[in-house]
Amino acid sequence: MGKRTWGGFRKRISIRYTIFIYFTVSALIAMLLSGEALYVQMSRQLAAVVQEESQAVLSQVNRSVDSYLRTIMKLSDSLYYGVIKNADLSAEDIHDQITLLYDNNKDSIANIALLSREGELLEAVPAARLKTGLDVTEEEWFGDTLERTDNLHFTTPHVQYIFDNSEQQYRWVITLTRAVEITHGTSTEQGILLIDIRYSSLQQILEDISLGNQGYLYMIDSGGELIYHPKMQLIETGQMKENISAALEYRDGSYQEKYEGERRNVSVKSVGYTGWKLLSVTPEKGLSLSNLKMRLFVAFVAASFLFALVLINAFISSRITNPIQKLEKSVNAIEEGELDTEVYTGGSYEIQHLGRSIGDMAKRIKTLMQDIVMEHESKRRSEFDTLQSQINPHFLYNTLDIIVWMIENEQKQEAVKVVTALARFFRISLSRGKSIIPVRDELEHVRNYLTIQQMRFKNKFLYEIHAEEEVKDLACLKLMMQPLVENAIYHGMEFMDGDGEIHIEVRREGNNLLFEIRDNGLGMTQEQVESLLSEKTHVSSRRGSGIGVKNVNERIRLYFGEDYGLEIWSEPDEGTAIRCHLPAEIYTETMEKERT
Amino acid sequence: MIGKRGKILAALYMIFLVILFLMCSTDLIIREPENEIYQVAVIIEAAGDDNYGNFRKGMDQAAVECNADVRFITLYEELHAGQQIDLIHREQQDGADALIVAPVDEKVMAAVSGKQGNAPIVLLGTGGADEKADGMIVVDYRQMGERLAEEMKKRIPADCPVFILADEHEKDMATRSFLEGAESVLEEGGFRFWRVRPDGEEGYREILEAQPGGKAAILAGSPEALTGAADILEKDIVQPGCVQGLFGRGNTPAILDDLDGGVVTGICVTDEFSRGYFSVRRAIEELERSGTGEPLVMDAYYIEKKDLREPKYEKMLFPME
Amino acid sequence: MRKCCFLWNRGNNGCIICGKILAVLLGVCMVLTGCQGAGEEEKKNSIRIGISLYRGDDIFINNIRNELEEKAKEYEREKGIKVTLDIQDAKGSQNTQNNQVDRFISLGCDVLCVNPVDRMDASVIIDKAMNAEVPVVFFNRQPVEEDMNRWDQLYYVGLDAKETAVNQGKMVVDLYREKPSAVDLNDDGVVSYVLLEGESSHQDSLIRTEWSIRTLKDGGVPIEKITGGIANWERSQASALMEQWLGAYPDKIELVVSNNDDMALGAVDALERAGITGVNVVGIDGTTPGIEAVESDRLLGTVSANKETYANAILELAASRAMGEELPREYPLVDGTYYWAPQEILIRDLGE
Repeated sequence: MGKRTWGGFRKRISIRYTIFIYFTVSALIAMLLSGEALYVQMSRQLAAVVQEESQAVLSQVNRSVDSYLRTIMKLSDSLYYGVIKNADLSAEDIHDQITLLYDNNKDSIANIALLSREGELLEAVPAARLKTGLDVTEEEWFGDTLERTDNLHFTTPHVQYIFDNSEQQYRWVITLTRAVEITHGTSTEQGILLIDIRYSSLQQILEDISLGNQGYLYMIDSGGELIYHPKMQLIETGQMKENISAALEYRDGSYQEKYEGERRNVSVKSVGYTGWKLLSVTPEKGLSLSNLKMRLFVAFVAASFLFALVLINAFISSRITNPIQKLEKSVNAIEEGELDTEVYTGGSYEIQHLGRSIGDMAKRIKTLMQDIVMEHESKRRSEFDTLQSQINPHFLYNTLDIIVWMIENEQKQEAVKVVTALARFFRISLSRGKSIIPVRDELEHVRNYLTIQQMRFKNKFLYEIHAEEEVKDLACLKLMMQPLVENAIYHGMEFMDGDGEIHIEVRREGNNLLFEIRDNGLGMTQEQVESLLSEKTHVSSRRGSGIGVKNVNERIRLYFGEDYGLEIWSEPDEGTAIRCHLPAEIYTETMEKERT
Repeated sequence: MIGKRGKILAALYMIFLVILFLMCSTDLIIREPENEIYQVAVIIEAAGDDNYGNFRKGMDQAAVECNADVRFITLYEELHAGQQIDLIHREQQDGADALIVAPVDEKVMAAVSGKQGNAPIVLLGTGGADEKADGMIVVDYRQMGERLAEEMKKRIPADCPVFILADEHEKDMATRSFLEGAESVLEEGGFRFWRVRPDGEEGYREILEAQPGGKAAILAGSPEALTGAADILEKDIVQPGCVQGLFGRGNTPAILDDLDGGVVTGICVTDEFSRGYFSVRRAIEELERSGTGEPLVMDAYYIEKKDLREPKYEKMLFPME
Repeated sequence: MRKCCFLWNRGNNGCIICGKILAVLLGVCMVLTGCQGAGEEEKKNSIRIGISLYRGDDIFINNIRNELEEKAKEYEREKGIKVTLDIQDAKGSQNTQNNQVDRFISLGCDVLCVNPVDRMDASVIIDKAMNAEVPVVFFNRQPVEEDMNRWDQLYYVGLDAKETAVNQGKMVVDLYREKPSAVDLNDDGVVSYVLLEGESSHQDSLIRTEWSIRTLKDGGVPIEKITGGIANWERSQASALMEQWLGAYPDKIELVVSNNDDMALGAVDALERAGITGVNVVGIDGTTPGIEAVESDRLLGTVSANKETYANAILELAASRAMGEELPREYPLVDGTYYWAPQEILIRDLGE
């Protein structure tokens, strides 16, 4: 059952739903595709932008760190070249100069100290003393610094342990040392200029750098020790891990790596002089646009669009299909038979045209139907006439009068003749309602008629009937000759005293059947001839059959076609000849039916 | 033209759209979980936070990371169990999303384990067997004591008597477990030990000089005791060499300073920073139900002066901020 | 649009129903906002105070901090109102302090207590507080007057620097008057002193130095300055300086005048290390170790702020502002803004 109804359903889907569905589906597909393309593109752009931005931030921070270190290195230079190198420590006190430089850099410097080769503290700003029991010469950096005299030596961050500080406090510093030449009077010696850089000031530069998408920055030294990391505390105590071993290998540039199951983008930039590396890490998963709310938002936009689309489509398709539907209604009404319905003409040009055409066709049908009705009417009427004429009351009355007179006058033989002729006449007149009868019967009919008329008109005329044997079986129209003979008698023979002649001839000419009725009567003028054939109303003579010549012509043409019919010659005072042209067809019983 | 059915569908669809919109563009239905600030209350067992310096630093770091607002609450009186229970109740009622508790004693632990209230409780445990809570950060003090005693054994002469600075019945659970562990090892090693509470310089001199051979070692049960002893011994009240070693636990900056100065010989410490950090993290995890529920056991380390400059210990003992 | 048609099609009943729903919704909204407004006028039962210290390892500040915590607990017990103290250490960075103030405000602190790192730069903090309408009680480091005048919800609790200095001087003057040889140790008619000063930008250093010395002079003590140095309030720096001076001026130093106790103790450390006794050292603050040192005869004396009163003043002031109550009467304000904590001279027992 399902398949049938589906098939049936599909057939009945109106044009409106079809348009609607096609519109909607195609628009939806277009939307989805373009949305997808946009999304992918935007995601990529976003990723690229974030990448660029983190690169920019990295460069920025690199410059900051660089400039910071440079400031401190310059301080170290100033201290050395500006203060220490040219000073004779046995004679001068450089404390104030160092204090001046310290005061200017208090935010980033914790301590400045000048140590002799033996580990003695020569100067310290701010005032400080070495921790009791600490021998700085045993420190690794001490020996390293004295060895490489041309270099500045940076340590990794550590707790300050060289100088006394208060019990409650500890400070993280990065120690910068360099070898210096100290002048005591005439001797010069090596010493060390030590600057403790506050780790917190370096931290401030690197902290709170938001790289977006949970990215972060960190810094390592050339040996892989962490200088700074947002989670430095946790990493050093082993609670967290960072991909430092890989970071060591990287040169400056951008890389993609996979660490602890996460894909990340890593950018590296080296800090000048120190061999430290700045790295920025951005996890890739943060770069997409998706989180629950975003997805819902996309769904919302799609649903809204869908809704708007549906509305628009409904509107468009209805605009197109409404006229069609209205037209369809009109057609339905016409189908029901309401030919007079006002056909809808509106909508687009094609629909208007269709509407108008259908309207016109309906009108034409109506007219044609009316014509058919009228034709049927006239056919009925002429048949009725024929029927009526077949009975011909006036001829009957007159003939019966004659018979009564003959009987009264004891002209029994003539009376018998007339009665017999009358009977035969009427029998053929009726011919059981047929319109087509064989020529034989028609000749019999006209012979009977002439017999009667001869009696009535006391032999005013003579008649002759010639017919070839072969034509007697052909078909001819009933009551065809009799009216013509009647016409000849009443218009031709009336004023002839015994000299009247009526010749009837029937012969075949090729495929045609020819009837000729000649008389030598009064004749007609041309106008009379014409009026005979064209009078609408049939001439009814009280004495005649009531069917006119015209009627005969009409009936011949009606039954056999336009090619056949009557021809009339007439010459006044000479005579008249009427010819009937018929097709030569053998008479069969079924002919009747075909013709009607 | 649409028909009644169509209109009903359209109306339903509009409602669906409105709901979607509310869900995605406003905060009425879906609230972004990240913006929520969790209220965490930390209730410790002491009246002052001297021992909690590093712990607090770890706490603060975790608070910043997890978007938590941490309240650090000390008792009015040292080791007052009733007060602690009251405070716990108060905080629970006051809208704390999670609690972190360093229990004073077993009573409090029982109250905590009973779990009354919706806020998950993270217990800073001391290694006792019957500890149970939503989240646990455990320092096994007993093990710590054992470890310290082991190290002590290596560093003091076999016949050296050991003075343990503690009361006979310590209220503090951590100290109790610590000393149980230490004393068990010392006993095994055949050492003589007594619990004492010397009073001032005089007191120390008395007990130290009273020993035959004039040698003794001192083991402090709590960080306060250790600091007190260090302060006194700093002043060279007795002959050098008399005190074979001053040992204890705790890592306040003062203790570390004393360790560096040589007054204290060796200490056992834990990574307090991580303890604070993970206590807050655990609390947040419990709130978000993303935690594993496994107790986190912190390691104990034995530190001497030379270890102070080891990068690993340095960062642990002197956390950066 | 058709949608409206759908609703309207329900006939007049539809409009009436819509109207009713709207009215109910409006009513509910108004009630809720009303409740909220009313709720805010109810009495608070918990207050939150944000405290930022300029340096956590300054002993005096530390003492005040401990007192504050004690006083907060007492207040809690007495009034039954929960007090949450958020104490942060700015570690000598004004930037850090500004960030801390931001955090306090965003966490909803009712009042702030700020010990500003840079007293010249308090305007940033004042701006933030004014915007958020959070009162601020400054203490120990005094912002400039122009800044304090910007708003009437700014307060300051501290020691009158001049008074402390005068007291310090007075201490020595009184002793000199009583027994000159206790001060002029070598009896050469001159009291040779060294001066330990605090941070160069701090108002207290300048005032204390000036008035202390002036008081001594005006009091008739024949002082002569050997040298002086800036030890930035720190014990270790003072200790180092003192050691240097002891080396540079052996046996010459008779008196050490220090702007605060920590530095005084640093000088004492150096003296003890060098094994020198008898030198008089005076400080200011009355920190716990300072008082201890006076009691153990290591310091001659100090000018002590009654730390309990000091801290209580800060707390009561802050709490009253947070609760929206009147200012506490026990702590009268000068100019409606300043409270000077009472001080006393603590001098060592000289009964020898």
